[in-house]
Amino acid sequence: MSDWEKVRPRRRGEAWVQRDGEQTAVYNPDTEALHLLNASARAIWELCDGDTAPKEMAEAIAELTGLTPGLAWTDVTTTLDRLAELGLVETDDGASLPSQP
Amino acid sequence: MGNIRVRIEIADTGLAAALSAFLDADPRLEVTRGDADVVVVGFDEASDARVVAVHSPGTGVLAIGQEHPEPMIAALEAGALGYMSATASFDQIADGVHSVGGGHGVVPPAMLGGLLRHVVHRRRAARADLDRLETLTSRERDVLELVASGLDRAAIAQRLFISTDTVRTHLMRMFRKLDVHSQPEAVAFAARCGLAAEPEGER
Repeated sequence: MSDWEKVRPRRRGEAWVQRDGEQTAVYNPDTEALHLLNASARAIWELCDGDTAPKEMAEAIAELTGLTPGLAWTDVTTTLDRLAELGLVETDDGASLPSQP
Repeated sequence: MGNIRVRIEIADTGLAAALSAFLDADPRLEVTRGDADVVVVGFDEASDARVVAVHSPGTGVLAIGQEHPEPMIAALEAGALGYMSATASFDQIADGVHSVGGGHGVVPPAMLGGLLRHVVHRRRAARADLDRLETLTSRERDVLELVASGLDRAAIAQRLFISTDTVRTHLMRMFRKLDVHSQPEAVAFAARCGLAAEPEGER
C-alpha cells in the first residue's frame, strides 16, 4: 500500500510557471532547476492543492478517460513520485513525501 | 475505415468556410451539410442547447469556444465529446475532429487540470448526497421516493397506510436530515441520487 493514500500533496508555492503550448515549465527556486511537465503531469500538479487526495485524482481521471481505477491510480502515483523527486510538491505538515529520502 | 463525415455549425460564416475548406482537404475527412459523424459547433454561454440539439447516437460533437473551464465544462455536460479553444489552429481542430470521430474525447491540455478539479468536486458532492441519503430511515426514504414521483401528502398517506400528519412528520425529519427546505429541493436531491421520479400513472 502506497503512502500516497495517506497524504494530500500541495504544489510548492514558490514555483514559477510558464506555459508553452502543451508543455509547462516549472522552476524550482530551491534547486534552481527548470522542469518541463506534459499536460497530464501538469493537470495532476495543479490538483495538488493540499486538499485533494491522490485517490480523488485517480477517480476523476478514471471517470474522464475510461482507464480502470487501478491504472489511473498507477498513473497518479507514478506522476506524484516524479513530482516529489523534483521537489515540486509537498505535504501540509511538511512531512517527507513517499519518494523523498 | 471510411472517411469521417464532418458538419460545421459555426456562426461566423467566413471562419466556417475557411475551416470547411481546410478540413475538406484532408483525405480522411469529408465535409458535409447533412448527416455527419462529427459536428463542429461554435460554443458560447448561450449555446448549450445547440450542442444538445446536434448530439445524437453516432454523432460526436466537437465544441469550439473560449479557453476557459466554465464554457468547456458546460459544453461537455451538454453532450459534447470534445472541446477546443477558439484560438486553436486548423491543424489542431483537424486533430480534434479525428479524435472525436474515433470516439475519443479531447480537451485543451492546459485546461485538463480545471476539468479534473470539476470532476473531483462533483464526485465529492455526489458522495455527500449519498451520505445524507443513508441517514434516512427506510420509511423516510419511501416518502422521499413517493415525493419524487409527484405524489402529494394525501396520496402518500394513502399509499403507505399512514395519516397525513405522519407523512408531514416524516417530511420534516427528512428535510432536516437532507438539509433541504422544500419539496422541489427534495425532488432535486432524489434525482441527483438516482432515485427515479417515476410518474405515478406509469407504475
